[in-house]
Amino acid sequence: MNGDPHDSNEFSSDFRPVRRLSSQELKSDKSFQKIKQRSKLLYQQPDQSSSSTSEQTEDSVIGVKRTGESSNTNQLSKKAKTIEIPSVSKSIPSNPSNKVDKFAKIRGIKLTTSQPFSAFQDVSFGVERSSDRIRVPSTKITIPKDPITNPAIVSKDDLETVTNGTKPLSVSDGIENDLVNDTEIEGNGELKKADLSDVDSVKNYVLSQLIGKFTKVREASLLREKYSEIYNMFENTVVHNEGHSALLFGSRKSGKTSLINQAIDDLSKNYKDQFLVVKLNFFIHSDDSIALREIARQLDKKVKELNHNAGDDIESDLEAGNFEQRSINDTFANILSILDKDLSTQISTQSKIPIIFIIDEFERFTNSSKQTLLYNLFDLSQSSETAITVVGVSSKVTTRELLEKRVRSRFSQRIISLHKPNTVEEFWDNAKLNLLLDEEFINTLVDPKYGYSWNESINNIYEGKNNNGVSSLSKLVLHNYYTLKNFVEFNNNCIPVISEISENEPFPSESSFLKYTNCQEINNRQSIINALSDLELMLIIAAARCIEKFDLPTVNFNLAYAEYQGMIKEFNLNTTTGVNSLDSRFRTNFKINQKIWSSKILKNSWETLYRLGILLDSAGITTNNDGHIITNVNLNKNLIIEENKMVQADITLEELSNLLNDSVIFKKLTKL
Amino acid sequence: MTIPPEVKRSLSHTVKFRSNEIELLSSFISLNASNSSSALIIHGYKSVGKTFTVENYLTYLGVRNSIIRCDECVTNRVLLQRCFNKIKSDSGKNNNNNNDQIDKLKFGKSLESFYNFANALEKFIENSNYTDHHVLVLDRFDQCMESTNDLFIAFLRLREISKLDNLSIIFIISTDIPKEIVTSTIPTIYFKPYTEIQITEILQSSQSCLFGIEEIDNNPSSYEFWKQYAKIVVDLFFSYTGSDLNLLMDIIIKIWDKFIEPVIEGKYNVNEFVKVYRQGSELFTNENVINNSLIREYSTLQEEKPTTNGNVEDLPIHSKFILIASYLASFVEQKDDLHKFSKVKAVKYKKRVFSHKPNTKNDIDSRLLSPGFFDLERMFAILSVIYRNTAPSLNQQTEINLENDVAQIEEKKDIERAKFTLSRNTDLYSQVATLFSLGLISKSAASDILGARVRWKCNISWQTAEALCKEVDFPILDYLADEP
Repeated sequence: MNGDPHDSNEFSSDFRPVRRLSSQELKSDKSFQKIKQRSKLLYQQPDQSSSSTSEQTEDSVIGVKRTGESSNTNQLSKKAKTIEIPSVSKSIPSNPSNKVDKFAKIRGIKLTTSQPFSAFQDVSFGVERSSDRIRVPSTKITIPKDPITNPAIVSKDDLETVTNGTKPLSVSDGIENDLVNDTEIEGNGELKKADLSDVDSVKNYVLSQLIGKFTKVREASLLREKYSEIYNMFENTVVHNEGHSALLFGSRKSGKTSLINQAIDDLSKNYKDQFLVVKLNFFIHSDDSIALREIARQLDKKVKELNHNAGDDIESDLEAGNFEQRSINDTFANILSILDKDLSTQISTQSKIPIIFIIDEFERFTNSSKQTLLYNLFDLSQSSETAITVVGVSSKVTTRELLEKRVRSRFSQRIISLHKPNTVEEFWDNAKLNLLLDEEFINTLVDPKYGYSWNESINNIYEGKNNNGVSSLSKLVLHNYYTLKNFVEFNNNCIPVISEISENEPFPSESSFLKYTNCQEINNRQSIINALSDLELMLIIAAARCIEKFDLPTVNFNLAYAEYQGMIKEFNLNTTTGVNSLDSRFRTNFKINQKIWSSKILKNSWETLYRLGILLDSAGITTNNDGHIITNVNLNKNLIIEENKMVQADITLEELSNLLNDSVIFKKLTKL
Repeated sequence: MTIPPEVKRSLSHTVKFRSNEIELLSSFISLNASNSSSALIIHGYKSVGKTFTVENYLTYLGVRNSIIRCDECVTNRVLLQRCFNKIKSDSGKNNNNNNDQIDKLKFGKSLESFYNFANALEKFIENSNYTDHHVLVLDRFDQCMESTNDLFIAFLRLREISKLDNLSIIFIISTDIPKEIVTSTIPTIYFKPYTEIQITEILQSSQSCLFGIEEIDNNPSSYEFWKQYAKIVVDLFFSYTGSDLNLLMDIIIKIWDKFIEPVIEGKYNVNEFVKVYRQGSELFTNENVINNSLIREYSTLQEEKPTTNGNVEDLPIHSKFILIASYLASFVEQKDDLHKFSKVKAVKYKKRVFSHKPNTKNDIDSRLLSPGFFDLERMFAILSVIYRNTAPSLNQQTEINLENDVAQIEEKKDIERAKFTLSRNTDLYSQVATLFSLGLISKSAASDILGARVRWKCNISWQTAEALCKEVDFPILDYLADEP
């Protein structure tokens, strides 16, 4: 850490040498990073505040800069950096919580001193600035910039991003900006051709991030707090033998499972073999008895593994694995009795090994009669001597209300819910984590520079620096944010781009971010209509006309065919009338009339429409007493549909005329 | 892990107009398991080359794969069993050949539920240390005879719940993506329908029908002949088939044999396509070409003759009347009964009191709608009326006999007609039961035939009913049509 202030002085004057030094510097700092990461796991909260301290320090620096206001902003900002950097580097090794107070104090003083000062000079300007200053820290906390999202990284490079991040907030200095841009372009220029192995490994790394499970939970601002909540709960279970129960809510693909998996992974790193995890998923374990068998099986397996690790002989191995019995009742009784007493008889090395139950699609388990399984699990989590933690994962917010009274009373009422991002910036900050490279990973590359410029290029593409205007990536982000707020969808869009990179084009190309979207169906009704043949199209138009004409709820083939016949006759008449003059008679002779196809042929088309799902069984959706929607739409997809079977059309005449192109000659048939 | 360019080129030669889709496919499914997404949906309405593209891509890629035709699976259980067995055999790790017994003991006897399937698969992969990337293709997954929506979700969770990290699943579906999984955001590749030009080019590119005579087939003009033929078929039938390639192929193959007859007989040369077409032009206008309801009879290899009015011709006269009565009962509204069947003329038709709106529900010809249910008693009442009015035995023209008093005979007749009940003479119930067993009429619930709550409906179409009435000389339109 000694060389740090020295380097940063250089850094403020010139960017290049800093770049080169940073990797060496980091290598020497590896031990420090390890400690840092370790402490991160244990003290989630203080660490966050430490990262925000660096923010605050720098913020106070801005304050300094503004108090000494003068026309030469360029010099000032440089000065600001030289002041700022030593202060940050000092703050890191020391206890962060103390620092917070100190800096807060300093800031407080600064604010009080600066305000009258500026008011003295220029009232309106001063007000503007003071409001600015208030806004800055608040946004900082909700939208964490790079230093928070990559907390393990503490280097000058990091600091540079800090300064970059604050730049828009500080008084704009054109020269400074130019400098940054220059270095970036140079960096890219150097790396026009990257090492093949590097490209491959970067590609593999990013792809596996995009495809696989989300692993940067601790860095995602949306999940971080929830993560520490879950993790602390698990930790309490393991360390203090406490039983807990909780429900984790979140819409689909919001990262519920990733969160829990990450927590369990970290837990098993810290407390290896000191707990058991049982995972259930309703979609696979679709009723109580199967779920019970699964519990027994997983317990058997894990106990066996534990015994193996403990180095027991085969005899105990045999007697250990007997949770699962032939009859389901025995199995259940067995599990209950063993869990209720303790596991000390089962496992010789540790007594009372805690168990964590993860129940996915929790709300579906409430459908079983009496909710026996849930009742027993919650009961165990409260009363058992073995510490048992039950975490229900669900995408339905009303799940707690679905629990029976006796089950609900045993539930701790602890609810953790995940939220979607509230601003576009927040969305992007979370979404880009999957595209960026880790500091640790970058150091494993042959040429770490490539890794850095990769991260830079991602940001550049988003900001649209390469071409003026909005880049396709930011278009993608905006579109996703305002429609779905779905990170997985975003990832799907990025996969084709990343898989494209090669030795010659080591960076993602900006233009291909919309490739995936272009290969999606626009809207299912519309794409069905596009896929129809002319006859099928006319038949559905006829059906829709029928419904419109007679104000019917349903329609059948006979009606549609009768309408079709009339419709085509009229169509042919209209196209031929109005040509009375002699010279046009020649033309009328060649007028191609629409053929009226026989009902047998159209019957096939009718079946196709039914199979495509644009015709639905009538009375398809009903609600039962509990308000659950029961749908039997296409439940029995019988391939033969009778001529007089009444079906609903899933499209109206108006919609049809909107969906059809003007070039389609049947468009006028959609007008009654 | 992109596919090498030369492979891509030959792939685009085999699979036309699908380069974008192949590119996306290659970014989601590659040789490396960790870089391939766990699930991928291939989606496109009708047959537009989805399976073809995927199969070709996988062969070119050289990844281990197993393809399951889901529409051949009767139940979900069969589907799961097939998946498991296919993965097992395609993995190349199945050392103990044909040792089903051991396998059954190892992995469980029958894969009743998805839970068993997942366990068995996990066990197998653990036991055999199978780490190669394996792609499971579930072709026509939505066309399995049982509903597969729940199975769909379960398959998607396979990687999450088990240690099967080397398995990728491709679902090929041709209907909407089920609502259950629409929020799971699985990567999807949508196959757009072909345009007419594209279809023509695809069909022309490979000659799938040959003349069967080597001299002609080796002649380069035979390929030209094929090209023109394919163009003609697409031109004529595209409005019916749309972009459905399979349907077009069926038609092409169906017409081909008859179409080339003049060439094979030596009447025309191969390069005289227009002449051949002129001779065989009726082949294209015959609607039986696309009507798939006619089957070729096995004995004669000729297409069976379509029957016009079912098999009602050989029914006894009373059954025919019962059938007509049930048709009337089904298609005449009950409230109009008095007006239509009663002799009492006092019942005035009060339908048209309100101002006549142009298009209302009442204007729909009831024959086009589905038959209504009726009580057996109502049908019998209608039967007795129509039988009395039109039955040949009761309505013979009396010969003009001057000796007898005509008025007296008429009076007698009237008495007879007034006294007439059909039920005394014939066993109506057994006839109704017969018609029911023939499927010409059907009942609402699967309970006792003579139960009081049972309601009936008529199953014959208007065409059949019309033919039937002509045969017994019954003026059915008098009863159906509304009075002006």
